[in-house]
Amino acid sequence: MPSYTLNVNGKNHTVTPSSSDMPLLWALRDILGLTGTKYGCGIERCSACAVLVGGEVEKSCEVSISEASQRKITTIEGLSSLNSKLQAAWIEEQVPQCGYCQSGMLMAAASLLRQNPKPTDAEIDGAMSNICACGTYPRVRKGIKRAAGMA
Amino acid sequence: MSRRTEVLGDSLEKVIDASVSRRQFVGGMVGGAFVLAVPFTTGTAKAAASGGNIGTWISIGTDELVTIICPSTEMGQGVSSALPQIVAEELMVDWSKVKMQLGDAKPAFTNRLFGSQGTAGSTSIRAYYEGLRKAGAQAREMLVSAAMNDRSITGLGGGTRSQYTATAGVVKNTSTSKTATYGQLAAAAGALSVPPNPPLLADGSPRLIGKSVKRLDIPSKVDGSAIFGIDVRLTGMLNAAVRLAPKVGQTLGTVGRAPTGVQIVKLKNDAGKYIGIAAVTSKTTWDALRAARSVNVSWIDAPTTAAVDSVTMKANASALMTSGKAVSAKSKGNPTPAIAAAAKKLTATYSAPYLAHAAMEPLNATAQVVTGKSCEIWAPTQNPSGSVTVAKTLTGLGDSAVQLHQTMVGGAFGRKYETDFVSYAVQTAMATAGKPVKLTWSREEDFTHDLYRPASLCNFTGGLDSANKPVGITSKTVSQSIYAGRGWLGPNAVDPSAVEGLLMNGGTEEIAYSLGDNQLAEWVYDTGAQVPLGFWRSVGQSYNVFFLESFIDELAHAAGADAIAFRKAMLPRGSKDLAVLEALESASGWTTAAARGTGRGVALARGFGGTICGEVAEVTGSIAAGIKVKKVTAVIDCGTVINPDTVKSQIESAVLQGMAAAMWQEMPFSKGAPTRSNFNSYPMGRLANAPVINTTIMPANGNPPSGVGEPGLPPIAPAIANAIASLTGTRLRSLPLLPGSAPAGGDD
Repeated sequence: MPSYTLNVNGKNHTVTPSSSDMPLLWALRDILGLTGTKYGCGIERCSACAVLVGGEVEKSCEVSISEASQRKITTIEGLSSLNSKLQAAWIEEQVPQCGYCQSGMLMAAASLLRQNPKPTDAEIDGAMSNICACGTYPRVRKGIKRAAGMA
Repeated sequence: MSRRTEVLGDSLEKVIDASVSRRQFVGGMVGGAFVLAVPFTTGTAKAAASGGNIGTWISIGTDELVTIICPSTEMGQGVSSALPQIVAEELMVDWSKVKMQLGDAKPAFTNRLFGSQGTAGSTSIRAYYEGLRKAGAQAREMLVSAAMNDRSITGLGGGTRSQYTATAGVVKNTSTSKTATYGQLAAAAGALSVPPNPPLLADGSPRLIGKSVKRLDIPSKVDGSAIFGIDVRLTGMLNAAVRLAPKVGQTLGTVGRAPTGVQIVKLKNDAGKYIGIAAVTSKTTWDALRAARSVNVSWIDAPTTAAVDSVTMKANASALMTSGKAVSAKSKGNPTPAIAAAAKKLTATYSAPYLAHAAMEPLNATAQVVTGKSCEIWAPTQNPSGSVTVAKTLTGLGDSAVQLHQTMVGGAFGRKYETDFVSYAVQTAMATAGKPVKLTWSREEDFTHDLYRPASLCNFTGGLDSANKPVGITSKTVSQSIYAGRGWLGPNAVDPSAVEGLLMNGGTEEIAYSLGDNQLAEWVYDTGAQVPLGFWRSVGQSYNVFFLESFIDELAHAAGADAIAFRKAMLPRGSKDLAVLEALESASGWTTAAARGTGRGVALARGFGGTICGEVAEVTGSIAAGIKVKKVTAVIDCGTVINPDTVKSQIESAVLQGMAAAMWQEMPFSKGAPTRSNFNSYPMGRLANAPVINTTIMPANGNPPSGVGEPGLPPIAPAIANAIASLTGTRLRSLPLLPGSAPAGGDD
């Protein structure tokens, strides 16, 4: 079985999956024990599994380990070094309910603010396609604006 | 760092990890901590009689941190902060010192409204409020007694109770100004007997109750450290994935060869029939999911399988509306002749579809079974007691041999009150030679093996007299029965969940419209449809309030009356219902004309221990081009409020979940199988569709707490439908209202 080097949150890990087409999601969760990244749909529709790969937000359920190796991966466990304002804003606005989608939500928000530090409402609408079944959307919007210094 | 902090880490959630031994997780709670074992005194007599299983609700460490147990399930509703907030109120500790731990399954943690430990029906605050205030007061008085007994600090002990204060985690002898912290006193306090009737803090001086303190679970939900059921990792744990019969009623036929390194375990339902398999591997969940899909399995149809088809079921329900045997749920006055003699007569038929729960965390549970010895379960369950019962039945073990640990729950909405996913995990663990195993459902298995919100068909008649005053109302509902599916429905009885929200008697759980003096409500039990059913947030109210409040709106329209004025005229003066409606009228700006191109609709509902919730929806657009819900104004009267911000967040939640259901969601069936299996076909709301939501909470006026998690959901569907009718002149009577307009979102 081939091994791959994954650079996650600034640290290199060697992982040996059962197959090279194993999605990054499961390597993060079940091999590296980084369970903050969530399985929601497995078909790139819900974004519960969103992480940053090479600075871009990606759904880790459909990025293979082989594609992800050699690129810098940031997960929710590494978000504080990238944008701790988002987490503070999420607490201030009391955004999460069940919290299951929030890792992906925060990673999508981090990616948005990297590219667009002062997004408009329409730009937030366009960037945040994550599914939240609890209905935290109004507070996600407020949290992004607070983190962007627009609150 | 105190000893307990070392054991527990920053939060309990962080401790379940492969790098930390499970023993620490299981036994860590009391390791090194001084414990005040305060019993919860409003549990059932049965719980008290079981003895030896008195729960430890509060523990205080030498680090001054106070850990308070949450017996209820934390599935997003904020209960794991609200319950500790009640304890902390009486205990007189700063919120910053409070930590929360989810309670294991224990008789002492019984929800007194259910007689078991479970979280449903918006009951937690109502069930535990008095008991937790008392527990907090008991702990406080024990700490004061410990200070009074103390001889180690010169000048602290002695004197009378009135000399002492307990404030912010410190007991003070006001005569000597000597103090001791709770952490210093906890060990001695823990050795004292529990005072049966401690004084509660005087009403009118709340410190924490009614304050929007920050939720205790949220920090762990923004850094990935919260442990949901699916995140449980134990040393030596195997991973498994479930594969269940694809069509309703099917049973397992033949099972082909397992892939190398994979163990196949046959799974039974509660009736003892094999209905699926688990594929077990020592590799990852992904390997297990792949293995489960790859096995050749044949399935055997039940005689009823093919009839589980939306076309067939809708035709049958329509036939039953005219020819089915109706049972009266409520008959009061003489509505039929009154309507026959009315100046204006109205009739309308409404419908609601089957719905999936679509919680974000797919079903899963972890179990370890040592044959004849023990069964330990980690599960995202709303129903710890029921889960333990299932495990006992499967393993033949007694109460003391079965342990269940609650995890964070990634959404539930009623689905995780069921015990099938726990049963399957225990069955799998019974076949893995004592090794722990986590059984995960793929999203597809989760969607296609739900216990669905029932579909319902409802016909109304109503009449107005020559002065346009309503004279009577009849409703006739055709639906399957959740209760019958569980053996709870007696002969010729009415399933209460099938009609809740339709009746108008006043009292705690129903709106007191004056129409109720002349009402007939009937139910036809549709025994032909065989869709597996379950409880879905607000259950029968989720569709019955849509039916009733839509029809009330149609009556108002026929009367040429304003929708709120028409309702106000039907509500008793001085009632809370009327107060909520008047507050809603004001908060929504109802009396100011809506902007051009905007339609407004209103709806009102009551239930869950007497909570009243009214909502006004504002919509724009057109049925052809798409309707957008722009703004929702909500007013809720839920009695005493523990945390106002949590109440608001629950209203936002209920509005958004209810809106997605009202506008877009439906689970169709074809030839025995549900036809939607993932988020590419089952529509969900997205951020871009979310309206602005403004919530007003009515003053409690000394009333006790009532439900919060569900009451915001029932009014939103009729408020939207009524707004669409007001904007477009078109009355939409079938849910979902606009299935073609579902947001795509999440594209590749």
